[in-house]
Amino acid sequence: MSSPEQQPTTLTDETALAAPRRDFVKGAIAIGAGLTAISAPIIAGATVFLDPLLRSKDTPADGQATDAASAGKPGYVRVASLDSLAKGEPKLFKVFSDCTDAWNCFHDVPVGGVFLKLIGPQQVIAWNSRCPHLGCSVETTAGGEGFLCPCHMGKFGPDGERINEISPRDLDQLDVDIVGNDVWVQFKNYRQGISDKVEIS
Amino acid sequence: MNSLLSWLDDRTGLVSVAKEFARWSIPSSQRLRHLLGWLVIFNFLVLLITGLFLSSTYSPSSQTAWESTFYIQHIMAGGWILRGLHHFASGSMVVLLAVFFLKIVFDGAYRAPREVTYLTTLGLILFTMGLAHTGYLLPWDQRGFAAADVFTNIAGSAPVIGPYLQQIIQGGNVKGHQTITRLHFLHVAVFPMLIFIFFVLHVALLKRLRERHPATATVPAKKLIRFWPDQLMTISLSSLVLIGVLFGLVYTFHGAHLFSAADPAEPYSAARPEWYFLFLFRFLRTPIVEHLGLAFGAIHVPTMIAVVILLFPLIGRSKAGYYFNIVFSCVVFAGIIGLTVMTLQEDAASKEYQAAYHQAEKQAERATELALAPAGIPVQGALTLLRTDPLLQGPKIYASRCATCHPWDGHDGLGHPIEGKGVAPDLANFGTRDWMKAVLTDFEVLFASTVNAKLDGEPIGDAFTGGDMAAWAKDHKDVLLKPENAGDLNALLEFFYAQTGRPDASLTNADLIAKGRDMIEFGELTNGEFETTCIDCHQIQPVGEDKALGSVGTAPVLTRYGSKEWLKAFIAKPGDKAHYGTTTNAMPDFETQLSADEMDLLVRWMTQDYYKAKPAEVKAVAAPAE
Repeated sequence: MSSPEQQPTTLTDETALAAPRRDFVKGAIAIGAGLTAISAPIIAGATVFLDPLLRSKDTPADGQATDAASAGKPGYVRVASLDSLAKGEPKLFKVFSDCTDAWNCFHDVPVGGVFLKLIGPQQVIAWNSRCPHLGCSVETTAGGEGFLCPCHMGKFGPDGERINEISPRDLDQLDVDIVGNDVWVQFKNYRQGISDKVEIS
Repeated sequence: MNSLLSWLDDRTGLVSVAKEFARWSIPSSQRLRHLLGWLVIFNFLVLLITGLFLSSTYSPSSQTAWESTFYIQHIMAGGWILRGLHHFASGSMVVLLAVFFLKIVFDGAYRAPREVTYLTTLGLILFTMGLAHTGYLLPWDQRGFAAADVFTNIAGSAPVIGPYLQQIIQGGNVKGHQTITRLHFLHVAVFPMLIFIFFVLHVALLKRLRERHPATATVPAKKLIRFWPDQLMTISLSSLVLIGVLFGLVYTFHGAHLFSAADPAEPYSAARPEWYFLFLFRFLRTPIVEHLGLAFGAIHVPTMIAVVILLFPLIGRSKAGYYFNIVFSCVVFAGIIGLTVMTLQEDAASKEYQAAYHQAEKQAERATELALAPAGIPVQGALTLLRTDPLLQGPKIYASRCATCHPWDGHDGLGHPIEGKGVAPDLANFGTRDWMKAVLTDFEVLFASTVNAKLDGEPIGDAFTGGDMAAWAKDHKDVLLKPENAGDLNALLEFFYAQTGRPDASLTNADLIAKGRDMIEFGELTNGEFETTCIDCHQIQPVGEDKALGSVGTAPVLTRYGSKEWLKAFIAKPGDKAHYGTTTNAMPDFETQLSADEMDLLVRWMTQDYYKAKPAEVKAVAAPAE
């Protein structure tokens, strides 16, 4: 423990104090180096774990519908033909699209559902079939007038407007494009449980 | 503060434990061994932490193991660093354990009263090797799959219980989902749990030893080193160096290698275990060991060595026994190192291994390229991508079916050099502008090797080299290569290239093609003309025209010559009268020899019709030909 430069002629208070001071430095190095060393793999692991937040936005987000090769406007998916709709009666259709799920690509698989309602010639309203409350699938009511969410009894009117306080907002309306006899929908999902309509991207 | 600490200590005893640590002293003679022990703990923690995080993405099944590893390696932020750390930390763990073990042997640290502690150390080493081995199988890439094969077969060679053991580990008669889930189970549950149990035992034994035989009682104070802060500083700084080295390795090698997804139906001749198991691999390949059987080399010999090592405490009671243990350990380690070095040297010198390894690397690159493609990995797994990829499968079909006669750029398509020149043209250039040019100006050279080809057992001799086309090329070489006619030759080549319909052929200049088209009919050049035009002998229906020029009979039909369709028809029946006819052709019909899928893969490979990562670059290469 004694180094050459500290060989005083007499034992003074200086040398008595030097040892604890040296120990303090050593202890600090020991703890500092040790924590640095062990935090390295933790940081490397946490980075990977937080990958969903760190990934750059230009790659399509996992689980989101990617644009299927189509004749319609970009971002639109063909859902049904006009013939299959009767005026004033909302009908549920599956939305098929390509879907990326981590390392896999699924082609032309169901990615969600939409209600289509014909309100006039060449005029269709579309709603995402997920309840804005907690995401259950909404059903049409027995009388055909309006919608009901079976999970928590959220009620919606014939125009998708909420009737009770269960859902924080009306059903999420989607943009529609009619090309000839085909109904195309810009399919999107929105965050649940909040009163604002915020797209999940 | 003090009251809080005493409250905590009262409830948990943590502060007392910390104080006990702080009071520790280590005899300076044990300092290195002590440090090694702590480095092993640190290294194990690195493996545990990185492994835990890897398991947050890794998915054990034969359709997702490679795919999820690929995802970690190539897509996730910092994934390759994490995987690289885990990989290289497994290597450093093996090295540290080896050094630690030797240090114990040299110190005789297995002698009374440490016999049982020594046994727990051996257990920890054994289970760590189990972790190391099961670990590199999990990506289910070519190497992991081959290693799993060896692992399960070794288990199967065990006396009596072997076949049952193999079935249990594999989860059935063949390797599949259950093999991966079971190896995964061993890797993340069984071995870590055993290590935990043995570690707790080990620590309890060490604690007891320290209490019963305190170093302070036997070793003079001068030769004692305080754990806090002196030894701990050494441990921490060494750990920092170790993790630095690991990061350095990860950076240098860009993480751990991921080979191509494994296809059980395909041979993999570059199979090698992780470097720390190379010795066993080489040992099993030694002729005498091979002769004595897998169980002898992989089970009996290691068991005998293990028994001797287990008996070290008994043997080492005498001075002579202690030296025997040292010599025995050194011999074993020298053998291991010797066999490892031998394998590395043999592999470096072996052309076959280098070619196989190169092929494996190429396939790994291709697998990555395909998996990164916009089409992505189908649900059936990456193997589907590989099996339907012309670039990967074409050369394999070529090597087995075509390369006996036709070399491919001097090799068999897979990189194995071909001695001599074969008996038919090298087809690496087939259908390119260079090929067309060689046909028109150097036919005799291009087809030179056909003089040795045999038709019904008789060499065909100069059927090609002395034929009409060879004569035409000889007669017209000078006029075609005249500087004034350079534009004409270019137009002619462009025309023929356009007929192939290759992915990049549509980029060629329409005016040039039209000019070339007129030349095959009228044979006019800027300076001179063809004595006989192409259509005097050949029939051809140029792309985009509805009438054929020339007539069938004297020479092969050139409609869409070099295209996929032409090639398929030609390979199916080369002796057809639309092709070489029965008198000159020496090539067998492949109509029934190749399945439709094989034919398609082969032809698409030969005409470069497959996914490429950067089409922009390919266009850039093709364009300057104008």
